[in-house]
Amino acid sequence: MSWHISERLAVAYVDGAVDGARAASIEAHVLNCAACRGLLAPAAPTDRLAAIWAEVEEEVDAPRPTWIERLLCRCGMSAEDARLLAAAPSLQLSWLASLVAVLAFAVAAAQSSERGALAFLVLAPLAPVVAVAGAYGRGVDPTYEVTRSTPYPAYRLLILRVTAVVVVALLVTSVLALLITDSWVAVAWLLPCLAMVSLALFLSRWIDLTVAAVGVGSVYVVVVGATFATDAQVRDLYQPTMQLLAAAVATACTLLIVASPHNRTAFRRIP
Amino acid sequence: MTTAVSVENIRKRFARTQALDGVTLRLGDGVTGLLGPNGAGKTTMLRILATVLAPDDGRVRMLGLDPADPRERTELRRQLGYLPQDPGFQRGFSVFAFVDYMAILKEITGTRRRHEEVRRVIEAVDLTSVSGKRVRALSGGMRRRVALAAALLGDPALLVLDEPTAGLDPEQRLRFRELVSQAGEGRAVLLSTHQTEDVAALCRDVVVLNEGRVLFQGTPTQLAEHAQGRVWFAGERDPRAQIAWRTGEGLHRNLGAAPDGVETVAPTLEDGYLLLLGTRIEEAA
Amino acid sequence: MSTVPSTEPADAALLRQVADGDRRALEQLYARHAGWLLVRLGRRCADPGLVDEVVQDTFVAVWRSAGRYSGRGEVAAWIWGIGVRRLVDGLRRMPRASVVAEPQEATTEISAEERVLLGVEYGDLAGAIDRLSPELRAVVESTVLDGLTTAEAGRLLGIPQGTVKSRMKRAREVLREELA
Repeated sequence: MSWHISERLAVAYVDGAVDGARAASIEAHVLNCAACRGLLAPAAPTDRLAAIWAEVEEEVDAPRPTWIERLLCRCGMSAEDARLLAAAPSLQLSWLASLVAVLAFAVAAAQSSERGALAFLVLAPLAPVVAVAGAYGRGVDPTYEVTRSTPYPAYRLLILRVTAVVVVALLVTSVLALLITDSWVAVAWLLPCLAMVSLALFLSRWIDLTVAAVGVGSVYVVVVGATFATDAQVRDLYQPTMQLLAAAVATACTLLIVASPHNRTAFRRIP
Repeated sequence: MTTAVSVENIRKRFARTQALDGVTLRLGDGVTGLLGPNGAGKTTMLRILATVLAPDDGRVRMLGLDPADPRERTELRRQLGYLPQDPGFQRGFSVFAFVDYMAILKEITGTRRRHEEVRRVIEAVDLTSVSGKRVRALSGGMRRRVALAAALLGDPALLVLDEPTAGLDPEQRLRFRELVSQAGEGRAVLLSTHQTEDVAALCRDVVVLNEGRVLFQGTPTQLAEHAQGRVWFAGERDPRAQIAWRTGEGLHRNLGAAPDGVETVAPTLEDGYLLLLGTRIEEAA
Repeated sequence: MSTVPSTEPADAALLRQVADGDRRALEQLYARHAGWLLVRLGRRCADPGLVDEVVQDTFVAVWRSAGRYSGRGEVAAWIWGIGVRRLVDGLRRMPRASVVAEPQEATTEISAEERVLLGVEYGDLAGAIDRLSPELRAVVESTVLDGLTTAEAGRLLGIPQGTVKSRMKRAREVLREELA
């Protein structure tokens, strides 16, 4: 290439003082010559270029919000809180997919036989409990240790995450339960579930959440198993008296959690 | 030297083990090394300083604040950066996304301001070129640097690093040491290691910990001097030596009470450290 | 005359790194190309706000679609293609801004040497194009030099596609007469 632009011409071009074919010539040349591009660069408006780059950086770097974050923000939550919630391990697609798979299997079983309905009744309350076990805790959150050294209140993180996880898990289970024709089975799982979740949450003040949830779930499984083994009717575990008991446990735990001054302090962000 | 951290008579017990048994030490600005074998109580000490664990007994005072008080603990955490052993990362998070997540936990306000701070620390550990990559797809050394970037968020006055060079190859270790050295300017850094080379390369002060007790606190030079006149070479392992090993050249380096007439050599930091530990073992036996 | 040092990576290499997620490579590409892009777009659109937005969108698009660069042709030309199409889209949304910037009076004296060199580059064509009416010159520049289709040129200049075609035809006739 024999022809290049001079510094003077570059400045004139940038200032708009070059017209017609000469400008077109420069432009066509610049597309192919790195050296002349280098001449134009310092002559171009640097303030605007810096401001534009700041915007490009922001757009390129900023992590794209996940579907959960978008949903939470639309419900009025701040983007920051939404990000913290959405990082709950049990809200990841793989966990949710497994949950849906197990429940779908249980629903299919419920539709096919009486015993299948029992399978659903036993499994459905466990699904949100398992999800809660995966919401926060040393065993499930890979950043648990370093999170504890940050100023953000750990208890707040726990409560927010558990709430999000429970809502999602309940929604998923309820939607799948709607597919069951036996209307009693379709609702009888809910109160026992709420009882277990609130009990695990209540215990999380003293022990690790994962341990609490797994513990409560295990007790439930043992009780169901024992009932089965002693030939008593597993269905009886879900009769109205037991439902009332479950409701009482759920209400009591929730009230204790919400009313506790220790919890209220631990939840609040210290300015 | 202003005291950034002051720890008095700290005790911590886990089930049957007394992890820390009356530890007292003082830290100032610059890099202090916490040296000790596995199980010495280093991680427990660091976790207490990172406010992740509370001691059973004793007084801790950091940056003029008392971590036992909830309000002061939160304030302290705003000026603290912690890099734990084996740092974890969420699945699917990019480098930027992870550091941004930590920045939210550190309560850096304002999205633009927070992102700029995230870019600043990522640049400080020289990871800008991979900031869009998934953390779990990076090498161990680079992942450690990501965790260090997160610890540097908010320009903390105190950095607590738990075995930051463990498992890194020599090149990665060198790069990490450079970063830690830079980070040590203008703030207090406490890092734990069981490798004396790290201490020799980086630390202004060193604390030797073993079985939950402080055996030594001073400069690396002083630790080396502990072995002054107690190191000599011989063709084979000297039965009078406390500790001896075969060097690469075929000679044996002996540590201990040097016999009369034997020419002693200048001690290294490692010699001082080994003799210090060796002395302890002998007393227990 | 300054030459690009051979130790610096070529644009194509930088673009490959960008495709790999290297933010620093994007920054380098920006430093090399955003300047001329900003000026060149600014000569086609009088609204600086829109031009800034287009440059921003262009480089975000470079980040996202770096893998789609075919490897043929200059990276600069590829970037220009993205940029000018974004400008056309932007103008479609804001028709008022479609005033093409009219250059000021040529205040610089181009040296005799430059005049000769320009003549070598384009021959009489440069002069002939200069003598076209502004409307005809505008369609020639946007289709031939900017590489737009007649539809895109129409959107850029705010005229119907049919008018673009007829003006091109007229411009070709005029140039053929002049250069014959």
